[in-house]
Amino acid sequence: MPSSADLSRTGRVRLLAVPGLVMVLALVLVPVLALGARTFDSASLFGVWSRPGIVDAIGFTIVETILSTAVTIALGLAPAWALSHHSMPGHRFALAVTTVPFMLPTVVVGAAFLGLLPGSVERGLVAVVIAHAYFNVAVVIRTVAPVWATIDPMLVSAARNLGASRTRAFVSITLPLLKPALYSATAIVGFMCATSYGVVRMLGGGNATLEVEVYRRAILFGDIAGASTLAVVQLLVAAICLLVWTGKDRVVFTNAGHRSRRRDHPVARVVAVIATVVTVIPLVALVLSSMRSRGHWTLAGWRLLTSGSNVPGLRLDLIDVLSRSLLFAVIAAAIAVPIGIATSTVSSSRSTILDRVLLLPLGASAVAVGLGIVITYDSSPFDFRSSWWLTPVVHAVVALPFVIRVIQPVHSRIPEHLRSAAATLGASPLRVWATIDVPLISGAIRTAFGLSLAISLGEFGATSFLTRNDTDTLPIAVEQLLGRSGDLARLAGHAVAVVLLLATLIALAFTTRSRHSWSAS
Amino acid sequence: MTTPSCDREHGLELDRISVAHDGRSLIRDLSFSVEGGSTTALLGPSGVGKSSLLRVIAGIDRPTGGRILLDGSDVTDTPIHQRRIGLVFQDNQLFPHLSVADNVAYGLRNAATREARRSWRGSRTRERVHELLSLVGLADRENDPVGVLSGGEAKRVALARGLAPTPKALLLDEPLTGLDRALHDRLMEDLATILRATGTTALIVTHDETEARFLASATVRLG
Amino acid sequence: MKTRTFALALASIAAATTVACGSDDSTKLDVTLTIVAYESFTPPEGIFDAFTDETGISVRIVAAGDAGEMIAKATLTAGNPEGDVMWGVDNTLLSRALDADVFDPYVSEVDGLDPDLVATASNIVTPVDYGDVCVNYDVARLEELGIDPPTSFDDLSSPEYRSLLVVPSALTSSTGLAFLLGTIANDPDGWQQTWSDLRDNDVLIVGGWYEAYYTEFSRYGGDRPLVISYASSPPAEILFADPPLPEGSPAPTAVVTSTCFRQIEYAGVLRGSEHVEEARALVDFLVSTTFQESMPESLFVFPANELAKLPTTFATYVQPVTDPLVMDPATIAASRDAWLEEWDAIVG
Repeated sequence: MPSSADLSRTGRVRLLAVPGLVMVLALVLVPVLALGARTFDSASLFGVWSRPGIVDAIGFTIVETILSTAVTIALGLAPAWALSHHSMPGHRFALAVTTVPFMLPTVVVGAAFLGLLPGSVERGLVAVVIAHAYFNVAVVIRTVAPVWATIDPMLVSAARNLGASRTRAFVSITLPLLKPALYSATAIVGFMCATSYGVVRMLGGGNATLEVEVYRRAILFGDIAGASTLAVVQLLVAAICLLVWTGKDRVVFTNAGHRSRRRDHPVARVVAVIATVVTVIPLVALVLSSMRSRGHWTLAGWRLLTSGSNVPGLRLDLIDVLSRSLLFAVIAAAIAVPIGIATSTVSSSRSTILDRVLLLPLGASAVAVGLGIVITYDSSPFDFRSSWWLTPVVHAVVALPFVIRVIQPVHSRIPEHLRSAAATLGASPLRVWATIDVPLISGAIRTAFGLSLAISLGEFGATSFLTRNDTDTLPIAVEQLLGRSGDLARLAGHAVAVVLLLATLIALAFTTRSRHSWSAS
Repeated sequence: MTTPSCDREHGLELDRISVAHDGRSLIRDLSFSVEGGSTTALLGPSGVGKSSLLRVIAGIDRPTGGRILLDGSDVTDTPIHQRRIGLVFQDNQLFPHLSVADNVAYGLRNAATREARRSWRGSRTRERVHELLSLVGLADRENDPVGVLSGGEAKRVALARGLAPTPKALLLDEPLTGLDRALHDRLMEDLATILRATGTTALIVTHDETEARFLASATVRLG
Repeated sequence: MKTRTFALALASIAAATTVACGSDDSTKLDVTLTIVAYESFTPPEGIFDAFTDETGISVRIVAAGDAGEMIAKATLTAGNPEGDVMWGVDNTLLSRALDADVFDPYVSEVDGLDPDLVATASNIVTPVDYGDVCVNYDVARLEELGIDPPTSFDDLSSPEYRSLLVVPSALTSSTGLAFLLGTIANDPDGWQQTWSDLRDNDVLIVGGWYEAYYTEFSRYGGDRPLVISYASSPPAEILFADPPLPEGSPAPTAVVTSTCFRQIEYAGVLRGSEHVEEARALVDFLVSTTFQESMPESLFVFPANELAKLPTTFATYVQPVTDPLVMDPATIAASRDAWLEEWDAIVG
């Protein structure tokens, strides 16, 4: 039966999807396709596939993605269970800490991680899979834990009472109920692993993913035509994956345990502690390495950042870089969050094509996006390529998929009757939205804001290609300092990385502290 | 509006209304009217389409045929929020993020915004909320979150909220279901008093003959 | 793409307007030139003041990524550049820029410019600096092990140096590529053997320079005392040492000079610049002694202008590389892909 509430949604409300679509089209789809169109020639279209390394790269991408995703999901289940059944004082801390690696630039944590990896672990597939699990376990925790927390333990008890073993109760009751969340986690982790660049470059021992191959062809071989062919194909494959996706990926990346958490479980406590410690070790190693040189404790790296140095060739104004990074992060969040809210308003009731299109940035090659933006917006009146604001805007596009995944599930849980009730009390559709929808998703909005800040702070992909005039961000400063020889350069580079780590933790505190002020009973 | 004015000056009139739900026809060509200021009970077994009919009258869903007239005007195509027909949901649907007082004030503030009337702003709103909450016997609960209310209290808040913007007609969907005996009887008396005191045109869905006889001056049977 | 066509149409209108106003520029008032550079181009603050005072031209630097990324963008934006002058394309990348017609030919004739360097520049660009990529070694660690520093590529394959060398991959690192080119320049016909010997001698290949230097190199806690880095790394180890080294102490690392491959960097006027004359003046300034003398300590490279005086730290700690391995850009361009594929097959 057509309802007038529905009718009001299908009309002008649909326009709310426009900003998000325009951003993804303008800053991801069009640039990559424009790059493909600009460099297109049939020789590279077919020729690039016969290059040695391409077949290997495709094979490695597939194998690495399947293994990394499987291991990440498997390893993430225990902490997800622990953090959903557990309420010790360090709960928020554990949640924030386990999320940090996902947000930090690879070069920072990757380096600390590399230092800790035993020499016996060969640089290659195994190292890549371990690192991917380390970086992406947060996705599993943040996605699965909130759903797990809502599963009534009585269901499992009932199954046990009917004679099911622990394992059988888990497989036959818990797992099916977790399915939507697991699908969702698998989708995001899969995308992250398939398009992994930094980890594979650092730990891959010469193996390449398609993403690395795009970089190699474009930057090292100067075969931009070949690179953009691969990038366009990667984008198409990503788009196809999104289109055939089952659509059961509803609940994602929200706060663990915003529902009532059940009794403290001693095993849960142990698991949470282990997960936190394992996550923290590389981070602590990073902090220590910013203060330790040649067997001595030193603050020279930190002094260099705070005093404005006169060491030749090591110029860095930390306050300047930090304040710019924060400004960019706030701008990016201020763009991504309203667009995320608008998009969620349109597609709150069902998974639509729209959701999937907006996930596309996750599957696009950062190299191709970066190069594509430079050539797409190069002439008046669209000559934006060296505008300072391009950086935070691109950050917003990168954050958008996550923002939507945070807000939409909460939004879709608002009972339609509440809106009807508001309307019968004389609230116009806009007022219903402002007085019912927005307040009820305020917790999710806050979470999304924190995530956007963190993503912007750590973004080091597409934007490193954008030509900038004095617009270094923290990750770029890290990269620059760590590209030079000498103790001070290394100390200062690690010190900036620690600043980035702290800024990210603070941004994530937004995410963890928020509580939804209501629960759909 | 070219709708010919109907017999009564005030009231709610259904003219050959048809209602379907999930593609299944529930009500066909139903006509009846509720005299202005009076209460009519809508009786019938469950599943016959009583709640669906209320949703159609309130404007949440559209009828598959027929017209709805309010005070002589055709409101069939009037958007839900401009219709001025209140609905007290069976399960209340109180706004979980607002206090008791803010729930009651919600409709007043909408009226103020929509019609740019300043009169309901500020202390006038507060006075009216207090008055309504006194009417339903909850004057001391203004600042409570709605989550702590008992079933009977929540029902009273929903009623106060529905009455607040002085709707031209108030629809009540099984307002007394699910309450224990004593509470049921007390609330039934209060409801009758309040509806009479406010002179509200009301349509009450129920499946209880006693309730219908006690509250309403007329009954309509479905099914 | 309709939008692009539209944008281009508008752009040509805009360009026509600009040309009409262009005659004002000859008065050299209010012109701002943009230098496109790689990320780590950090000349001393205020170095361009002298140029601005003299010519009235302001200078702005825009930067992004490494030299490879800069070239990738430059080839895509040839004719509609992001600036007026490009700094930092090197001899491993120059041919790509030339193929894409990125530059408006200009070779500076400033006094003192090293003619050998100028000879490599295809008469299109001007050499601005050079540096060497060489095997570096950890002096103290080799002493502990009781091993003499290696002196040649062949030494690296001898049992004495087994499992001691770490190299960034030529497939993912420009430093790694430079070292590979060094082995080829050293032995054009037998470099494949050099690499299979290195492989048999347990050379460690890692992703990039950072991993090689800061995680595997023994000076930074790794267990490999030999690493591929720059000839300027030893002076940086002194200048940036923490705790500071006592006055007059020798550098803690040193280079094997016979393994040094020369990287020459060039500056050029970008084709499409609306201020060609001014851009040429800026290139002249970049190779003037004023600018060139600031480079060793800010960019850790050697000036291309032989009249520029080296700072004392640099002069003291940099080992002179008298006979570097060189390869001209055309040779590199012709065979790079094939070499990389061959190399990948040997070590992969």
